[in-house]
Order: sequence, then structure tokens, then C-alpha cells
Amino acid sequence: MAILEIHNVTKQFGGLLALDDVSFEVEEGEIRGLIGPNGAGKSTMFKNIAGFYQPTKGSIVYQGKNIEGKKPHTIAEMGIVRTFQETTLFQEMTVFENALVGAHIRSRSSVFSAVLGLDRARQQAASDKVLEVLDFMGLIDRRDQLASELPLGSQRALALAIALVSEPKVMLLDEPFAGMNPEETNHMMDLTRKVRESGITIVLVEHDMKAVMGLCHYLTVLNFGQLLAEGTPEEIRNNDRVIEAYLGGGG
Amino acid sequence: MNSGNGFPVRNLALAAIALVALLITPHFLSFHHQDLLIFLTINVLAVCSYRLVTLTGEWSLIHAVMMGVGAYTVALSVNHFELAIWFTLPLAGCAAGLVAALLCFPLLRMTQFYFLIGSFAAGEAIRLTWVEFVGVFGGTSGLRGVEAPLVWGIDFIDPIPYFYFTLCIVSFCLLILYRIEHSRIGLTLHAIHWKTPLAESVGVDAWRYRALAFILGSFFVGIAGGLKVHYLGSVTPNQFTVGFMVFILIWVIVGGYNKFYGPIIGVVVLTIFDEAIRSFEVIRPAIYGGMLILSILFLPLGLESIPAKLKARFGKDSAPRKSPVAGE
Repeated sequence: MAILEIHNVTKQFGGLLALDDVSFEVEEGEIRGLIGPNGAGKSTMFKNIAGFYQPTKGSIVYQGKNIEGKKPHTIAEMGIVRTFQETTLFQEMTVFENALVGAHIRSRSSVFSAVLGLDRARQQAASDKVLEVLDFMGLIDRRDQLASELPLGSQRALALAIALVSEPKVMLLDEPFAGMNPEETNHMMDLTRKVRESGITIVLVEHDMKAVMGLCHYLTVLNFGQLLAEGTPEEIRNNDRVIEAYLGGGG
Repeated sequence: MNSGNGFPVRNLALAAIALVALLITPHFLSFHHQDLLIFLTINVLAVCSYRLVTLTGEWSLIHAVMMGVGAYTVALSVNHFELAIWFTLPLAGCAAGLVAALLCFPLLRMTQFYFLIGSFAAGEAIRLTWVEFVGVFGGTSGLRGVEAPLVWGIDFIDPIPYFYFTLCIVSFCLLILYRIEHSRIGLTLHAIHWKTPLAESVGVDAWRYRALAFILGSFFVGIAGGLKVHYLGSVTPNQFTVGFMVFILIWVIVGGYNKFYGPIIGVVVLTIFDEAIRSFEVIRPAIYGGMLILSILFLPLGLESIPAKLKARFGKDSAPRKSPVAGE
């Protein structure tokens, strides 16, 4: 069953057509790769899904509900959480505090309960959840360190942890492997699989082909804002049009 | 920024000493200095409430005017309805909070520099309302004859009881502000400050939290304004000009805005300093300005960062002193 349906999404910036009538569906429980050469519109598609952009045309359906044009925090509340390119973290906070921000949806407190300390139980539950996720991501020993002090691999893991704490159904990962060495990449791949095994559907934009081919069940290829091909990693690897787009002079 | 698990014992002891010092201080001061102490206490609330607004990373120029909203509310409610101070102060806070809530809609569409200028414009509009609507607000000469409150037979026209009263109210407000900052709300406000999109991506409604900080900050500074007018007995539009706003900014920046107590240090130190150089008369503003420039150059994180710096220099196994360097 498709958890996320993209119907004819077009995104125009002035005269630039960043996405041109793109449609695809993401099945529940899969790891979907969204690939393509630079400027193909992958990140633009992510921003449209997560509510940071509003599509010029077309619709985005999540669990049977239209979500295009909704605000990012509303979409997050519905269960779609994105991560960011590079290391977007709250650098000045500790690892624990970073992850605790992710618990916002389920444990936000009102001014009165915050001042009077009325929601201890809920805050305790949030704190437990955070520790559970940090343990799951292998960050538990670093929980009191500042995010800025972490090595790259752990920073990426923390970005995942923040998203995970919010208990999403769909996670959109924007280039989680960029700039990693092979060891870090392998570790990150393991983490991504673990996240998926916990029942979360994953869509990822990535340039690291080894990671994409090893991780994804199904690939969607964009080129110049258009859908170029779809298929299993094996099919995509042997698709002439995809090869041409990546190697040839702009097919 | 720690995840607020209450005060350590050392801090409690320090707080107790400070409290005793505060309680006996006014008895050793001249009348003029007792006045000053009361205004200082009120200004502590003004800077701390301003810090709540700045937690989201947005600096406004309307805070002084919000203090005026509270002050005018008290003056009007005492002069027309003779309300007791227990009603006027919360009313002052609510009025300022309400004005802030209405202003959220136009102002919070903007961020950064635009918000700063927008808030300044909105503030001036409110201030000019006081100037122009002479019938209600008394124009430039403001409202007078706000009688000093009588509580349990104690006449608050006397500075010492009023100082104690102000101290109680301000401490109570600071406690609430402290609790807010060290709760999940404070964490969320910090998160919005550092990375708004990341906070939004996990479900934080950044607009609502900015509004919340702005409204709460205005509420508490409204109370500060109320405390001021109860003591002064009058209120004029000139008390809340951008000039006073600049003082609030200076206190917060010089004290350091990264810690809860930074602005408190700023307002206390600068008020005492300003009073100490009183005898220099005409060159007093120049000295004051020079000190600001020095402190910003050498202490970009504010006075609050001095203990940490000292610790870094002398703390570890009393390392040999380096050659003396200009500035602390």
C-alpha cells in the first residue's frame, strides 16, 4: 500500500522549472532512493513533501490525505519528518537536548504546567524516549557532549536521532552519506536499515551510489526536473537512459 | 545552558547571602539612593523579561513601550477606578500582553532586521497615541496624581516598604521567568533561535513560540511599568522613548545574554557605575560610552563571562601568571 503519493507535482521558480509534472508512489516500509544528477530537483521534491515549499501544481497525498501547501510543523505532526543536507543540528546544545527537541510533538508543555511543574510524568516519558533512541543510535555515551564536538558520523546519527524521537512514519533523508568515509558510510547504512526495521518508511536523496544501491529497494531517478526512470537498483544500473543522464552530455 | 535540575547548594547559599544583603541595604542609603534602588529593581525585571523575547533570536525595540503600556494601565485604573495594587499589577501585565498579542500578527511576519525596525515603528505609534490623545492619556505631560498604594496599613510612599514590596514582586516574576526558560518551552525557544527549519521539521510551530515569548516578555515588563508608576505617582510618554529602550539593550548586551543572570549583572553594574561617575557631570555620557565600547571589545559575551575567563586563566593548578594583558 502506498503511504506517500506524488501526483503530477510541478514547481516553478520564476522562469525555472525545477520540477516538471513528476509522479511516483512510495510503498509503506520500503527504503526508496531518489537519485539524479545535480540540479535534477531531488531536494526541491523533498522540500515540497515536507512543506518547506508549496508545489506550483499537483498534489501530494500522505495516508490518503492531501498535504501539499501545509506548514512544515503540521506535516511533521502528521508523521513526515525530514533531515537536512550537511550537518544541521543545534550545535550549541548537548546531544540529549538536541534529541529532546525532537520530542516536541508528544511532550510539549504549556506555560502553566512548565512553571508549576505539572507535567513531570510526560517529561519523564519524553526523556526516557530520548535515551532509548540515543541508545538505539549508539549515542548514549555522548549524551552530555555538545553537538558541535561530535565527529561527522555521530553528528549524522544525531540528526537521525532527532527525527526518530518525534516518532515519524516517513523519514526523508537528504544526503545522509555526503562527505563520509567508507567506514562511516557502512555504519550509517546499518543505522538506516535499523530505522527501517523499526517500521519507518524511508525516502532518501543521495549521491553515494554504493550506499544507494546497497540500501534501497526501489529507485526513482529525476533529471532536469522530470521523472527519468523507476525500478530496482539492478534495473536502474542497466537502464540506458539513466547511464546517459549521468555520463552523457545532458540527455 | 543546562537542563535545569534546580539550584545547586552553592547557588542557594549565594542567593541567601544576596537576599540578606538586599534586605539591609536600603537602611544604609540616602533617600536619593533608595529611589535609585527601587528603579534598579524594576529595571532588573525589564531586562530579564526582555531576555525572554530575545531567546528566539529576535531583538525588538518595543519593550520600553510595553513597559509604558503597563504604566498607563496602572495610572488609568488607579485614577478612574481606584483599584488596589493586587489588581492593577496583573492588569498592567495583561494589558501589555494583549497589545503584544495583537501586534504579533503584523510584526511576526518579519524577522531579524525587519522585525527590529517594525517593532520600533509599532512602539512609536503607541507612544504617539499617548502624546496625541490628550483627553485620555494627558498628552506630553502624561498622567499625574496616581496615589501611592496602601497595603495592610503600610503607606508605600515611603521608599523602604515599597522597595521590599518591589523586591517580592520582581523576585516572584524572575522565578517564573527562570522556570519558563529552564523548561521545555525554553529549550524550544533556544532551538528556534539556533536552527528554525530543523525545529520546524520535528513539529515546532515557530510562529507560535515567537509569539509566546513576545507576549510573555511584554506581560512581565508591563508589570515592571506598573511598579514604576505606583512609586513615581505619574507617567509620561517621555519615560518610554527609544532612549530608554537603548538602555535596556545596553544592559542586556553588556551583562551578557547567554545566561539568565547576565542581564541582571549588566543592569546592576552599569547603574552603580553610572551613579559613581555622577560627579563628572558633562563628560559622564562620554565615560559611560567609553566603558561600553571597552566592554564590547574585550567582553563580547558580557560581564557574565568574566568568572569563566578568570577560571580559564588562573583556575588550573595556579599556572604561572602570564604577562599582564590590557582588559580583563
